[in-house]
Amino acid sequence: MKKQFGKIVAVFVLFLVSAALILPVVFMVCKAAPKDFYLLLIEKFWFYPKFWNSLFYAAGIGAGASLLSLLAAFGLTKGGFRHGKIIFFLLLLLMLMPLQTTLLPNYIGLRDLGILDTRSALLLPMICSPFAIYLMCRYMEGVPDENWEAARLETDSLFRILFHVVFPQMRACVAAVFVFMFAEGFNMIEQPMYYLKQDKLKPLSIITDSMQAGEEKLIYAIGIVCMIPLLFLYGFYEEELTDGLGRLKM
Amino acid sequence: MRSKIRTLFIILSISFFACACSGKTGEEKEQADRTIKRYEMSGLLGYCVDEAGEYLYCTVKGSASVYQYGTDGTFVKEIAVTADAGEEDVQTYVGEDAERANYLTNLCINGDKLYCFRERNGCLLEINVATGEARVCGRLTTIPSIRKMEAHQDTLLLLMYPEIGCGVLQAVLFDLDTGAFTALPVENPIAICAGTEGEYWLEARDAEGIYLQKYTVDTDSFSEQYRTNFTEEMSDIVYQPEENAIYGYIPAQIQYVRLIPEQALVAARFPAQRLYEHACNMMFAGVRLFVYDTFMGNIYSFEPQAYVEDNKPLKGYVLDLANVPDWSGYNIDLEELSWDALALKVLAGDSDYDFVVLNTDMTEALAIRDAMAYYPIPEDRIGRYLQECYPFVREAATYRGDIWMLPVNLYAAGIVYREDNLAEYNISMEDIKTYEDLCAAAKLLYEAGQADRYAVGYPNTLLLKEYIRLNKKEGTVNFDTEEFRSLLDFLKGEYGAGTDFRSSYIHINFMDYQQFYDLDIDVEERQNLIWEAFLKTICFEQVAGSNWDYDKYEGKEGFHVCGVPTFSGREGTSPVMADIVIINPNAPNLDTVLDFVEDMSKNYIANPDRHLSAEEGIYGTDVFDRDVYTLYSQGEIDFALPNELFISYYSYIAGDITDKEAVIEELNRTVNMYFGE
Amino acid sequence: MFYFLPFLKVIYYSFIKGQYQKSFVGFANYIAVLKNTYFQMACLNTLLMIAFCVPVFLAAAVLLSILYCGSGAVGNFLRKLTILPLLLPSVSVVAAFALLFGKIESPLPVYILYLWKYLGMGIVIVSSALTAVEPQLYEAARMDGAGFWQMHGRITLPLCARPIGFTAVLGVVYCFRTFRESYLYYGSNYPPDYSYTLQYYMNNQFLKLNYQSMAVSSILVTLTLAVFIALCMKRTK
Repeated sequence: MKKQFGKIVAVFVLFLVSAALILPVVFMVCKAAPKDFYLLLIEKFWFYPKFWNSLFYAAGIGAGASLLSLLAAFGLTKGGFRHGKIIFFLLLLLMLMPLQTTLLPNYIGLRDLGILDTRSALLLPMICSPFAIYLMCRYMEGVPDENWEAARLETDSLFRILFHVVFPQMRACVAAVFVFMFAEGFNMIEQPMYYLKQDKLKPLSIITDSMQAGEEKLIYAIGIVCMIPLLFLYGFYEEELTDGLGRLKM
Repeated sequence: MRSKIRTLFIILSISFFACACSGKTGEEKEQADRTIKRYEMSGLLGYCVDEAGEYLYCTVKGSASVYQYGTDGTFVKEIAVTADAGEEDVQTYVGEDAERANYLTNLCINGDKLYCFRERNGCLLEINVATGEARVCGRLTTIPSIRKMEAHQDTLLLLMYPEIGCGVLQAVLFDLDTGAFTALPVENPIAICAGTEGEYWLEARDAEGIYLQKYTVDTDSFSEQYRTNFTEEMSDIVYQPEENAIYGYIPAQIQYVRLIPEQALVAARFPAQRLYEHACNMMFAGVRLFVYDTFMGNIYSFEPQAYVEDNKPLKGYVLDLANVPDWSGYNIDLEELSWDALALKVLAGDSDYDFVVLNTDMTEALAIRDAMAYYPIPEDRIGRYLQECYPFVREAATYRGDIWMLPVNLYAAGIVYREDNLAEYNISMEDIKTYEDLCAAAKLLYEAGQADRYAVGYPNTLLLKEYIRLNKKEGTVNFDTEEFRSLLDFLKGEYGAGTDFRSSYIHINFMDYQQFYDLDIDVEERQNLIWEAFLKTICFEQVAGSNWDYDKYEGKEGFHVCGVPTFSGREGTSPVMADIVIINPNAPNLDTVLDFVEDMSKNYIANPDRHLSAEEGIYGTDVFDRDVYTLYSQGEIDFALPNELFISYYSYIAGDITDKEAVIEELNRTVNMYFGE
Repeated sequence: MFYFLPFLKVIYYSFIKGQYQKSFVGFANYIAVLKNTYFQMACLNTLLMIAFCVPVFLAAAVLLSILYCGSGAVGNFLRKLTILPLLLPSVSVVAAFALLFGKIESPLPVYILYLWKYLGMGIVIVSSALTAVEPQLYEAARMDGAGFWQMHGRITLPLCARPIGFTAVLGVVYCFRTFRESYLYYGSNYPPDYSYTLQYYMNNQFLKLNYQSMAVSSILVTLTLAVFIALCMKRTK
């Protein structure tokens, strides 16, 4: 009886909390009139290019970061670096570094590379995210060494080992990193603001931040449309994500 | 295996680092000759230069000969032209006309042949330079005046007026072999020049604008019309075959342009020699461009390449486009940027812009100064201009011994008033010591039904800035004073929420001009009527403007000007603001941008009434002029604090916050936070 | 390259006089920043925020995860919804929050904003760790008559210590990222004293073109935090 009661209370509490968390979302959905959607999706031509830009950046960052961090993590954890701890500490440091501070040196770097105001300016730094590498390293540490020791006996090709042995084992984490970085890429604001000049390269996130006059009303509609790809992704990869994050080890 | 992974990793990292470390190297720019040569010849009528640029030929008034000079100025020989002595006069001239008509004009050259025109008998003459022999090659019987003549291969192209008193130019081709004249079917030609391989270039205007067109003699055909983006026409053009470029002079903008005719958009604008009238007979000899100033009768020559910055315009950033004046003479690309983005550029030491234009009213200017993110402008470039300015301007432009910016477009706040009109209501400006007095006077006028005879600007920002300016000490401003409290009370009472703006006596609307708009007269006349009525009835007007704003009252009887009274009744001052040009220390076109500021300062020196010149002499002796001089000399440049600090102040006046003490506390907090960080 | 090289540059910048005066000034910048009262205030506020938000964030994440996991399909569905706030654009969210809270003389609205936005992420991490714990352990504990608190205190916490630790690090990172929301909430670079965090300090220094102070303060803070976290990590091991 007591247990039953406890469960009811728990569900009730959960409902309340969830309601609190979702309320603004609901509020937003209510605020967006169907007319806004019509305006946004059918009348406004600026919306689609921006939306595709956003998706492109997010997908590119997600895919790139998961691949690169997989390689980097593999190298770092299994490459036999003696000072692994120092590297982890460094990764942690870089991860904690506020974006505002790294903006300037990053900007200088991108400028000297000559890729300012191109798509790569957004993609490259985000692909090399220390957060993704950190996550991947932590996960990779939990996977026993024996697996690739065995694989090494069979083949000498690094690529094969990576593709046939490492990737399947890391699948969950790769998915997690992908979703994580996708969301980051979709929501980034400072980077496109400072690294891009051409309007046609800019993603949607800037628009939602600085609306043209008279279009404030559309903001809710945009918010909802933005949410859809992310929700879709989340729903689709939820298991991998949960799995990937669940096995995180400090 | 392990080492393999490790190697891969290391190689990857190293290549990434190498990428990042590879910086860019700057390119050294070649210095072209910027000197301008001047040839002075009294009574110059026509000139030309040979292709190599060795000799200069000219014809002058009072002589029927062609004179040959070296381009270094040495006299070579005189070629007397008498071949047409037997020809009859086309018409009879009298007086000065007769004299002019007697001489040779429109000299032009083609290889070793010179061509010129004698108006009196309409003879086109061909002169062999080497032998000095001349012959009459053609004769115009009805033409009184040729604007320009160009010789190319076996033809001459004449730009001329077809009949006496006809104001429309026509381009006429003359064939030297057959002696036939053919009028080209181009309407409204403006200028002509010889091109390459039997071609001529024509500049013409139609309803859509100005265009360039190529005429090929052999096939008697025209190319398509190359549309320019000009609003003003080039008075003369010249073709430079090596660059396939056309150079022209736009008198209305006092600048030369260089353009590629096939894409007839401006490739470069440059100043060089200023001409007082339209340019005439522009010619190329080697890399030097020769041009004849018809007004001064001088020939100038210079290397345009020294003035054309390789098709690279100057690049400037501004925070507010509205602040930017129109500086012609350079091909300037201005872009509006947010301070966030500009700050990043400044900090990163970007080299994609040459200068920044800000205003003294912006703290951002101070931030750039304090970060020393400016290129010190050499004293010899703009020193003279600054010397002419008031000391306070000079002071503001100097930081740690460097001139860190060029102040332009200075404008000062003051109050213009008419003593006699005010006296009707027993108001004397002598008695108005504080801003409250000013408002009281406005109230008096308002209540007397004279609301359309004065203008008092919304004082909230003005008074706040004044308060800060007068109370700023070493990095702090104290708002917790009686003075500021009464200022708040005053503003709240006179101007804050609850007061109806339309019936408020603080307003900047002048008289109702509807009566003038009902009249059926043209715009100019109406403006004059309005202005007259305005001058007659005005009592006082709060002005924050440039010289131009004060100039419009100049010489008008009974006008005075004084500084804006401050709230606390301290001595009335005039806050002066200016647009400032700051040069990027990493400017890609540093030389050009320095020339630019120098030219700008020279421009101001040449027009002393356009800047706050401290030279007393130029202000005239009127009462009003003296007042303006005094107003300016009381001036002070102040860099304002960011508006963001004063959110509470503005919302107090607007009525969103009601607690006065809280506002004062908040102001103290934010302002001192700003200073303290 | 995009992180480490910039990081080195930031260190370099922190030792020079200015972006346009590249003279080495040693620790003068550090001393100036440390002495600045507003930096101290900003530090205090940031630490306060971390000290308050991160434990609450953790506790809420753990508790809610346990609850969510314990309530079957309904809980599972609701859990999925918790991640929604993270995906919403901040502008509209802040507008809604400003309406909700009005004027409160404390930094609480920002704290709540932070919790609301990032709690979903915490829950996702912790609950996925929970699902990895073998259910037999709980069964056994229940046999022994352990209560709710006892059970989770003894089993869940030790087993999930690492994911929870990671969540804590994440919480700290997110604390730094709440600047945009806070800025939109107060609509000014000069928020009330209690909300003046390091981000404001650094942003204002940036706007004043004083990059040196910015570099110094970020180095000081990240270093402190990283050392602190590293020590914690060592202890949990």
